[in-house]
Amino acid sequence: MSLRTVRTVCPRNCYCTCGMLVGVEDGRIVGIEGDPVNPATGGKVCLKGLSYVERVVHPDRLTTPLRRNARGGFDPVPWDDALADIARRLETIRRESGPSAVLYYEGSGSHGALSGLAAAFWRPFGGPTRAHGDLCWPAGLEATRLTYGDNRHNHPVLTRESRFILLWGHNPAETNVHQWNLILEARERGAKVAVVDPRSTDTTDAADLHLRPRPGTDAALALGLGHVILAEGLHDQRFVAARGLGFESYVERVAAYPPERVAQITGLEAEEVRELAREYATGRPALLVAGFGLQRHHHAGQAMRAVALLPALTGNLGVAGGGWQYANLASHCLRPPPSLPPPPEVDPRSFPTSRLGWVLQHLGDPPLRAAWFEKANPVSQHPRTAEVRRGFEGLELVVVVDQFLTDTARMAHYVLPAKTLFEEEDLVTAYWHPYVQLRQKVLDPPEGVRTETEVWRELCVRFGFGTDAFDVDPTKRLRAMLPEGREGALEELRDRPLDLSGCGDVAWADGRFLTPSGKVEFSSEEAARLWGVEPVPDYQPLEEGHAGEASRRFPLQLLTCKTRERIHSQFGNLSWIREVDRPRVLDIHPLDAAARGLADGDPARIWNARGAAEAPVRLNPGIRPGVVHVIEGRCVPEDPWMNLVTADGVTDMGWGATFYECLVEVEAVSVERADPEPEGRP
Amino acid sequence: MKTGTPAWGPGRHGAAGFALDLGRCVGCGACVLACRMENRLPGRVSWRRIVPLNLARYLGGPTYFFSLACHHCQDPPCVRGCPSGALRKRPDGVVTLEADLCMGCRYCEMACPFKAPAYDSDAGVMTKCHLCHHRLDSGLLPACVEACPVGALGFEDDTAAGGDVAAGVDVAAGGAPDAETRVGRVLRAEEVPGFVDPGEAKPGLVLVPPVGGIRGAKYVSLESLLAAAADAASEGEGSGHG
Repeated sequence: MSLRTVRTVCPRNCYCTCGMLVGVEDGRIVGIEGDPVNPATGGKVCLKGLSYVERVVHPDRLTTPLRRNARGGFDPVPWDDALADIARRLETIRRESGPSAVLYYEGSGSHGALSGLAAAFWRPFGGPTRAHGDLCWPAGLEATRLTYGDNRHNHPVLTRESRFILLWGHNPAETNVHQWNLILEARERGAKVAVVDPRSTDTTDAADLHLRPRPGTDAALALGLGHVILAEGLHDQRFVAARGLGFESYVERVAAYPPERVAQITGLEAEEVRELAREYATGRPALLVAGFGLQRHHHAGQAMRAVALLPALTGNLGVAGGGWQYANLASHCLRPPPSLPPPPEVDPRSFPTSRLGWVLQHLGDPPLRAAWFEKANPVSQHPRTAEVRRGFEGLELVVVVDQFLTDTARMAHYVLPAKTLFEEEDLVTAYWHPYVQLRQKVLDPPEGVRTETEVWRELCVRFGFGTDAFDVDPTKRLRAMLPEGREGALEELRDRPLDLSGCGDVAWADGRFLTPSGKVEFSSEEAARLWGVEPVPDYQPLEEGHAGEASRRFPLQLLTCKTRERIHSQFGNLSWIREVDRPRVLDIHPLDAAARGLADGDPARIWNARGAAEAPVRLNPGIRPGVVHVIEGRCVPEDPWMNLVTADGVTDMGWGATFYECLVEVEAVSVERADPEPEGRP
Repeated sequence: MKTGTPAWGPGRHGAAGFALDLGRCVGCGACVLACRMENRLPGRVSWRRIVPLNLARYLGGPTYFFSLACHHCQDPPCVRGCPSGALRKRPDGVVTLEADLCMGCRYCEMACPFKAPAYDSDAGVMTKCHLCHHRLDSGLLPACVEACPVGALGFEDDTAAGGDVAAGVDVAAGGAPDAETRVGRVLRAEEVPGFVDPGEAKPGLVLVPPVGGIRGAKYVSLESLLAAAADAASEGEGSGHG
């Protein structure tokens, strides 16, 4: 019995991207703990990181390819048979309908730079149909880029220096635990914390100020804060004069948003708006952290631009403890794998991700006949699931690569078993801290599992494509993917994470922004040109919002937010996680519940014109009346299938999804009353 | 792997137990998983659990999370209730269970006000938290304390693990239970409203209140909440049918 410890990194789609130390005994992972050499994650991992001990050897983990049989179940098949049949059918479709009759769809289920090797197959294949934008964050990314020129922010540990922390549509106590730790430290040193969120969360519980606006009215609130800050002379005149572009037109814009009007739009008190504006503008240095929540609707980009201007207005940029935190892409500096074949001459066609259901069914010239999904579970996680399912039913060939039989895998013709993060060495970037980390290999894949790298190579061989990209020494390959001149850093990465960006710990410290004007763009011609929006951001009511036409029939705004035990549809199938899982319930204000005759624990149907889902009711006075909430992420069949009701719109910029622009009605399901969530005396 | 040296480890004062900072605990359960991992517990047995209080934010109040395991009581009812001598309190304060002596009668489980001992139905014996004394002996913190990502869990006499909230409080001098810390008075478990009555057990759990204290004072009656909400509704706030 010998114990060895391997340094690696958690590659989930999560802010933290924790460094991990993994203890291995007799070929089995027996212990996981945080890696203290990562300064941002500070030697800790969250419960999801710990649960890999169970996940890697979970009895439901797939270790053989599966082929759907005539009865709708699955039979195990040897790899050679599976790949031969898949290759034959892909080749037929390519010959008859062209390469774009195949969809290649890659989700965010696991991060690693080797994903780029898929191109070594799909490029010579001729360019399949792809998706662009994504379901999560692109409107905010584009809004930040238009405002500052790039997505970067201060090193997370500088949160400790903040005196005022404004968390907007963000819930780090549940979704970014290491940031929460830093916020608690700042708070214990006297910082105030304000939260803008229509719900009460573990984050708002610790807040000094909690504003609960109507979902989708953030732009009005941000412009109202600007109004008060300007009216009371609390802005940083020197900063906006020297570093701002189009400030005069911004002044004109916010003039139209006095607190009384903002109160009308947002449902807040005018005094709450004034108080937050004063506290934020005077609590220097003030940090503004925007989550992804406020950019999941049609006017998301403009709302995010309006919020992103507040740190500039108050001169909180280029300051330790201040700043705008949305996404830090400092680590996104890797190069693609070497020796890839050239891309096809014609750009392959692509569509905005959130439109998947429509695209699968209605795309023509040529229509889609086959689809390949990896690191993705669209049947659970895409908006408007019923459409996605319908789309799947019309396909001749669906290949899904996954570790478990997910909702999506269940609809596949072939399921190929995927490796875990421990089973192939790779480079991982982050979007909160600035570090590139090496995901060192801990174990060989179990018998019957092949890495995606091996699968692509095998397909290339079967198609007679070149295999140069695969026939590189794996270490040399990773070295060549590091930024030019830093290839030698690979060996250092075995010992610690590295910031290879050269950006420094304080973003925008030099005051030189990467926008066309080199300034913070209060007014952006680029925004108008690229996206057809107003150069100065403005508030626009949501079509499917609190005052929209549909609200007469469906008066409740549905939010489907995240929490700590899951990353979307991952982890919730593990017994270790289920032991500490949050109940999947419908949070509804007691008044809204009373109006519908719903009592605590009643099973409820949440429905609209798109579909219906069910969840037990939890009377929650912490949520804003008119808003209801269910945690998203469907991991097991008992979980509410919320994406049956969500909308598949596209955001005003960045091609994001509009999950939170969703009106519903809630009604009792007439069955016996279920028990409320387990809760008791400690 | 990483080591941590407890500032006030058990064995020093004959008292042992956990400290929990209620302002920091977010109920994530990393401690529960770390315990399971470290002690290789089968799925049917848990030594630590998260008890949420007011998860529904009743009356608009906050949620508190209690991460609880064995409190290693000063006068443990489980030890008193054990007919086979399998349970004992060590001189350093840790309450241990020797499986070889246990006959699985479950008297300890019945005697414990907190139901901390867990019955392993396959093995036919009780199991319980032993404060990871194998780790303590090598200068490591208990697995649950080590894993806590927000520094909420510590030792009874090591509340410094909770972000130096109680730095300077010397438990040995009897200071902890009534000591003023920067965040307020450290509470004994039995002082927390709603907590299980521990009888004479003197549980070794110390609870550190959140910054600003327990926010019970902010609670209002259900009637006044509904009245306020009804007022708001009549001003166009509500979203019922109509």
